[in-house]
Amino acid sequence: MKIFKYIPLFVVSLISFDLLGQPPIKQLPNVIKKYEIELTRPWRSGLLKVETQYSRISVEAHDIDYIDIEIHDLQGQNAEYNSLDPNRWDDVEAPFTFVENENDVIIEELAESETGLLILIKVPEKFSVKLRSELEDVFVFDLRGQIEANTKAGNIVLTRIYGSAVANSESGNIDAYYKEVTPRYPHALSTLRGDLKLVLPTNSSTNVFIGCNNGKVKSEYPTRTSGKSDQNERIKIIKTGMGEASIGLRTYYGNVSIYKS
Amino acid sequence: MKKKEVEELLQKYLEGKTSVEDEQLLNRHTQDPYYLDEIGFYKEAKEQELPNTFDETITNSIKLLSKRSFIHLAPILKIAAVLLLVFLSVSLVRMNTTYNELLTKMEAIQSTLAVTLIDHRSVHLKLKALKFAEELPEIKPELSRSLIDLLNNDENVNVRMAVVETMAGFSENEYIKTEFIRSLKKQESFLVRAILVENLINMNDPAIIEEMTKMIEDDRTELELRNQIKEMIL
Repeated sequence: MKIFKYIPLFVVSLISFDLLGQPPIKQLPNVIKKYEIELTRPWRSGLLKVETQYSRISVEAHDIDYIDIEIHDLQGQNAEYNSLDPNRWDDVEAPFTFVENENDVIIEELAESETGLLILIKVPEKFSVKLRSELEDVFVFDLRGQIEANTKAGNIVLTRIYGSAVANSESGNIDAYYKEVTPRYPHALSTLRGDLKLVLPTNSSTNVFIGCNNGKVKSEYPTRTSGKSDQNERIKIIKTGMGEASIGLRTYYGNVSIYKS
Repeated sequence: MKKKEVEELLQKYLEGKTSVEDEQLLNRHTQDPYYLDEIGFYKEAKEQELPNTFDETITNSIKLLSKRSFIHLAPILKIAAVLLLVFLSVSLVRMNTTYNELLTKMEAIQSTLAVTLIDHRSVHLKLKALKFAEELPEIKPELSRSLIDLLNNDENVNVRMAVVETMAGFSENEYIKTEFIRSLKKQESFLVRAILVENLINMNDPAIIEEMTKMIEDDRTELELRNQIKEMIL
């Protein structure tokens, strides 16, 4: 079967994800559909909004002035796409709708969508994103705009963040690798059952407020307990530099780990 | 006695080195009209001679003169000092009033800005608005209503949690306590309910503790939440 020849590649990419903190999705080749959306005002930043039920979302920022969308079949389970000659991909209707309105691009998954799809989107660097996947993972790379990511059962991985991030997952983990921590907006990462992993640049100037009800807090930075919640010692604070930016971390059942990059 | 010897005696007399015999000898010659003028000159010169303590006297005189000048100016300086103090006090009071007015205006602007940003679609701006609200000394009714509306209706869990943590800073406000208890029944997110419970119990209000006790006894309350309340109350 076609999928088997990609298993070693998948394994390698999984290992590289563990070692380098990079998700493997970039190397998966089953592209089943491609789109390019021209922006009405390419010189301006814009907002990309993606909502899916079953599909994994990955957004990469590049030095481009358009939006590029690729739909991948991750598991090779979608027979319709797999049986197609690549030259005939255009004949297939993608299970998504695309709307562009003055640099705001909205991508929504159709209700009858298949499982195991990945929607890989390349956006201009200054774009902001609002991403939601009910059951799958969300990845964001190199974005300088604002990131809002939500999932119920999936994980959220934010890599090389330059802008601000607000993310919530009910059952999944959240990993946030900051390149810069902007003090312009507060950052907030929360999960009910998952773990939180935060990697801060060594020169950051940040206050991190950690609320961890039942898990453990592991940090490469010294922590202190907030005066406000001494009663139950649930809020811990880390201060790096002058503490100009603010990051709120909250998990009820999970653990929190904070590293220096 | 020769003229030269008399002159030498007169010189010694002037220098105060004459002995009793010298002076008697000199007195005898003073009767001579020839020497009379010369002796008169020497006597006058000796009387006018400057004292040994000349420098000291001059210094004392200067000091006295300076003291006299300062004492002379003292009343003017006192009046000037009083006027300066009055001026400074008035300026400080005015500055303080202006500062307080500015502070009040700033707080009003900050409060209005918070209300405006709360209505924005971006979660980042909403969180920024909550940071503005957190810095206010008191929370105005309009802002309280907007925040409670945000707590009960915003789709983002992080925003709702941030509202709880911001408003918990104004725990003396009865409206906030009542709305927090009401909101417990409206929240779908367990995480938001848990944070509401945590902050409500931290308010140390007997009425809230009573409500929390009811929640422990209510079977509809999640087991984890009941355990959290028990752990915090007991």
